[in-house]
Amino acid sequence: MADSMHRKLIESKGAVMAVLTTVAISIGGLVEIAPLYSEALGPEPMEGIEPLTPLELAGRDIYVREGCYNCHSQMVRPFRDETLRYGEWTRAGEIVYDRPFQMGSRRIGPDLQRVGGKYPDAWHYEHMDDPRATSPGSIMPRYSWLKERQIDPEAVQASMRALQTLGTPYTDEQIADAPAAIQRQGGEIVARLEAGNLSAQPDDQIVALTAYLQQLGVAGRKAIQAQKDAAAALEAGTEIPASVED
Amino acid sequence: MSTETAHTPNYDDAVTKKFLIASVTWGAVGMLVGVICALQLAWWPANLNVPWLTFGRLRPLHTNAVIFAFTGNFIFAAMYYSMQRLLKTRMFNDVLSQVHFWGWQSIIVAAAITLPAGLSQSKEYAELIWPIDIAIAVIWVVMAVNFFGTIAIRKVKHLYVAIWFYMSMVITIAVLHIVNSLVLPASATVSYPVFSGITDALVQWWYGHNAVGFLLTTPILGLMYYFVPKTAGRPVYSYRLSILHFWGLVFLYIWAGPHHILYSSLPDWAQTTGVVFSVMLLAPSWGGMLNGLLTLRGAWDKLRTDPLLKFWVVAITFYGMSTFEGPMMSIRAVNALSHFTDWTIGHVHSGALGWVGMAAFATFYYMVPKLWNNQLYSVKAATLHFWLATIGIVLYVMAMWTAGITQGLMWRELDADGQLQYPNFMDTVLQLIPLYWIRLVGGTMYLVGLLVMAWNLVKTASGVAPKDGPEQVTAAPESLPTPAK
Amino acid sequence: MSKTQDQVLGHGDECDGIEEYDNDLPAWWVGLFILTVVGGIGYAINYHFVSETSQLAQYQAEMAEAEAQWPAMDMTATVVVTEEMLAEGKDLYMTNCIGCHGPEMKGGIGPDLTDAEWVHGGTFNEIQNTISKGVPEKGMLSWEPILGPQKVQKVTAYVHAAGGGQ
Repeated sequence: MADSMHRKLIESKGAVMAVLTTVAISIGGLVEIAPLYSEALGPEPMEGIEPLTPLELAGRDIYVREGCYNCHSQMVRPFRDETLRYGEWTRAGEIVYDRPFQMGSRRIGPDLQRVGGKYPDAWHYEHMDDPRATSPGSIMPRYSWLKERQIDPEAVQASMRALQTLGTPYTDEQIADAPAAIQRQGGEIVARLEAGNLSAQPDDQIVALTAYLQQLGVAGRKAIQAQKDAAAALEAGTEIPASVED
Repeated sequence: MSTETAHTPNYDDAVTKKFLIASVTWGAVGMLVGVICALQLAWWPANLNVPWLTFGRLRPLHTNAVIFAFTGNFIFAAMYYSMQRLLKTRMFNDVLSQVHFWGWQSIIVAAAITLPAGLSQSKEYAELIWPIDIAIAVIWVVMAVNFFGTIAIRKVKHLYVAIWFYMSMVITIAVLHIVNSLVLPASATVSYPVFSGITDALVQWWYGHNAVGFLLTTPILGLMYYFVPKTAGRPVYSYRLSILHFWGLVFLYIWAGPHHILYSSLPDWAQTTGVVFSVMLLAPSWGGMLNGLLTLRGAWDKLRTDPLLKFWVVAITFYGMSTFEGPMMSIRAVNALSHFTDWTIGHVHSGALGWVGMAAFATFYYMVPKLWNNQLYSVKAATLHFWLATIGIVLYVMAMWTAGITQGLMWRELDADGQLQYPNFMDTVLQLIPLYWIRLVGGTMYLVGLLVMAWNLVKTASGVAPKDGPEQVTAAPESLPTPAK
Repeated sequence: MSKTQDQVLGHGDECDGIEEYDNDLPAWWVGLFILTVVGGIGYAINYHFVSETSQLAQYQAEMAEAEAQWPAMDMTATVVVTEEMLAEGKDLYMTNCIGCHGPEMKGGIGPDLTDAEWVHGGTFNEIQNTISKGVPEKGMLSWEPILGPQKVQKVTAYVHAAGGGQ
């Protein structure tokens, strides 16, 4: 009887039980996760997908710090209603440098994976300062303190070095140039904000967060469009001889 | 062999008491934070414009507090209490027990400080920064050594089913925590995981789903196998079912993680494994429910007077419900609607409040009178707690189901032109506000219930004479039917 | 197999007095387990090998179906404005536009829509184009991806009529 075998061989031996349990709980994870490390199945970056700039990386760290993922997902699903609302669905090849992936699990607010370029910089500035100024009825907290605090360029460099070790293709020159790059990119955003009578400094946290949000999904959208164009060209090319044959 | 009694001097019950007190205390804190979060969703100014009180920082504090502080300490209390008795052995090493207790509480305090400060890895239920992750791993190993050490020196030959389930937790949580925490630090507080993109999503939810499986499910099933037969004074319904559903559960559970990332860029085949194994989990999960409920056969008459049994019946029923709901929500077509909505929040709370919470309360009401060698102070208060908690859960879960389905349907609703009927995201948010108020009421009732219990248990422990008269006091029979050998 | 119900196994000595019955597995439970295992495997085989579905194929089918049902609309064609359009346009304005242009169209963050000046042109098509494509440098969103072309036309009709377009 199976019961008595179980009692005799497993229940009486703690070590056997422990080994069998370990085996039982290991199989599923190995079968699902390990193949993503094989060359054929592992995601490769799409054409034009680049690591975040130093300012955007600083903005992402603010996104993580404030726990934005608790209300905003970053994963557009392949349904027509979602692509109408947000844009192209999220491909594996555009999130390869995301550590950790900010997928989120609940949309208390809208998905942000393709929010880049959807609104002007000033919109984000106003929205962070008081979400109800741009979205009446919003239940999002105010993040006005982001206007008063600055990012630390040295911390950004430390982050870039860690990411470089993990395989993100940052060059040593990019890391050395980070403080200047922050001023350059931040300065461009500040100029656009000033055009709308808003004042900020290039290294303000609100500027960094805006930089991060404004790039979300943009390069991916271009890469997807390029793929579609290429596919359409290919189809147009092959369809003519096929119709001739008919 | 003589009948076991609760006050065998040999056992280390001091550490059990500490874990129990910690669980109730942190439970109150974690649920209070949950209530504040619920209020903030209904009425955002409740964050008082203070950075460390904003929802994004408080919600991880809530989840970590209720999972690791409330449930964690509850499991450890029940485990230390039951395994010593089941193995007829004092814990392997008292120093390890103390290190486990104080280490775990220090981790919780560190979490309570760092999460509101915005120090987070942003991985759900694994937000804590890397130094705390290392501390968790160390303390877990300390606990594991103590656990396996006690098994090694046990004075019985065979391991009872409760121990199997505890063991699956000790092993699996270690594996999950270590793999999911593999990061490279950039500073003392910032780190980046070795996994990225969709692979990271898979690892995160392999961890996230199985943390639910092996922290909020299997250890609670294990202690159910101890405390339900003890409370009801009835034998476990089927030993064979125990064997089969245990192995079914531990083997199948680990596969189900990808159901959190359906319709993503995860390869289709990996998504399918998540769907299929989630559906296969139904029967092994219900095996636990059956063995729990059928063990109570013949004790139904006590249900009217005994609040402990009431708590267990509701706990096991919610376990059955949420383990039915889970596989359903893993089916692609259902997930397309439910994912990213409050339905998920409702699902997790029917498991957390209904199953874990109610099982914890039943266990506390059982253990406190035994540990402090007194009778329960007030059965009436325990019954009041039961109703507050039950009605609270129902309000909470109903509100979240309605909110989830409403929002899911509104997101996909098309107008006559084939365009979005509600293109403005705010349209759907505003619909949910009334339901968020109902959820707040439900959650508050649950918290008040917990506070009533805390008061009742303090009175019991301090030896105040029972309020409701000794006759009505619930105490599990010390002796169970003798086996017909 | 038929067996006497509720026979205790006599493990109590090793389980702090807890006894276990030697009861068989409930038949319906076994049936449920087999059903989910067979059903699950059958689903996977069907999804990947028989019907050869994929989430991408499903998405493309959904998009093709929608395109057949709601062909792309010609935004340059002349529009006959109806009362219904104006009413719907007003609702859309109140939900989406008042944040910047105010409930009375008197402006705020965005310009006044009732005065005689139309910064980006005041004809129906010009207003429609401004709403559709937005004015990114000034903070006006591109509304067509958000609202879809039909709703843009309805808002245009309302703004053109109520704001006194040319």
